[in-house]
Amino acid sequence: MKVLAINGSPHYPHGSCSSMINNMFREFKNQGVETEHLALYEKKIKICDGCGKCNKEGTCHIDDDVKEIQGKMIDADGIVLASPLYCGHITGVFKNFLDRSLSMGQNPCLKGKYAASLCAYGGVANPDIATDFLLNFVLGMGAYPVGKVIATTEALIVNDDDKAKTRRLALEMIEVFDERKAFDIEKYSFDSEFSKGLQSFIENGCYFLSKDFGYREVIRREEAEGVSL
Amino acid sequence: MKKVLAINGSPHGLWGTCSNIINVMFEEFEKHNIETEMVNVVELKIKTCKGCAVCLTKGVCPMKDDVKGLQDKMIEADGIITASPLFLNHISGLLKIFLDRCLPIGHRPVLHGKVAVSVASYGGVGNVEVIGDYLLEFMQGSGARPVGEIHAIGVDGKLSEQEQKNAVKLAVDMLEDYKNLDSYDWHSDYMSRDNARGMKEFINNTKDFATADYEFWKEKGWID
Repeated sequence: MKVLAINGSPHYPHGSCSSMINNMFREFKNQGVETEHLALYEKKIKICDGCGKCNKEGTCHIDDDVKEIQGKMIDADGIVLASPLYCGHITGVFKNFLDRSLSMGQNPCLKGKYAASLCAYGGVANPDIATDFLLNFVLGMGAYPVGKVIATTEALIVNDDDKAKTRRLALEMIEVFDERKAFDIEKYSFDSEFSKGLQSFIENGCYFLSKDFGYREVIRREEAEGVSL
Repeated sequence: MKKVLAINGSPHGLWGTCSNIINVMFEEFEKHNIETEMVNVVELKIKTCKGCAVCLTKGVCPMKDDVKGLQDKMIEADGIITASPLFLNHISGLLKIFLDRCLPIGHRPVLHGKVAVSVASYGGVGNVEVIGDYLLEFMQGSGARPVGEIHAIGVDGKLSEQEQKNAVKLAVDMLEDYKNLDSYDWHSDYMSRDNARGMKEFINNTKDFATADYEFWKEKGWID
């Protein structure tokens, strides 16, 4: 098993998010799981220019570190997403990285992977919005959402209770991985209201969504022929 | 009302649905001789927030770029429009990067006596209301009076007749609410929100560290 942690905090390698990730990694390392800690702030990620080429051609035309990070996500078996709560949501840097990953979101490519989300905040606003947002994103890409931990931090220190929660979450991730717990992505992806809306949006002849349309056509054809994915 | 500022968080800048809606609203304001200005965040130089917390301790951000200029424009304006396309069911990362840098405005509200609206564009899929909820919550928390929100489907780059009417109506609502600002009790509205309660607790707990916040709240008489 290999776990990739994506950290959207500017405080890496210090700070609460790093502390939570390191606590999870301690359990992972004890169990012989390979780990990698990736800080988005250390990477070169240009702003999404909303050109729509990822919908049309399936890849992003901007040349920077995004493809490398996406490649690491695809290589991993477990993905941990961590962000501090800034202005009531994940950091702008993390949000921009997700914006750039639109093509991943509409073409589920994280099937069979297990994901968890972490959030550190100072007690203002609702941190569930951030953790749910992160889990929903990987859920849309086909990953199994294992759980989340929210830490209320004081002066960048994570308390022992929250550290214990992150270690339990790590063990839970190993457990579901060992069971190879399956997640019905087709059901989520194609039965949800969002997906039905997306389907009609794509079918309504949006010329710039040809790649998404193609992907969905393949799925439908395979379903009709009784071929499982 | 003398001046309306629009902060456009769309990476398409002048050529997108957000700016189309803003322009329809601006036409209405210009009929009333109100000065208008649209700032495209994509054209600005905005560094990402480093979480150094100097804004909490000393009150000002040490980074030098276009953020301060835009915040000054917000303070000068009487009406503020914030606009974003729906990217992955939320505001664009571009606008979020700017808002991260606006922590001082959120912790120490300075936009009193202003009216605020939000504009969203989307492809017709997803929960577009999230943009209005989020941006208006931010503006209310920063001192402004939230007026309303509008969203339009931006696929072919044109606004429907109904969407144009909605935009004009929102501009009229802004003017109306600005005239009746006295009837709006910002402080009661603020304190009734979960965010403000959390903020009060945060400022009380961190008074030795976040001194700029504590002094501001104490001066306002919002904290003992």
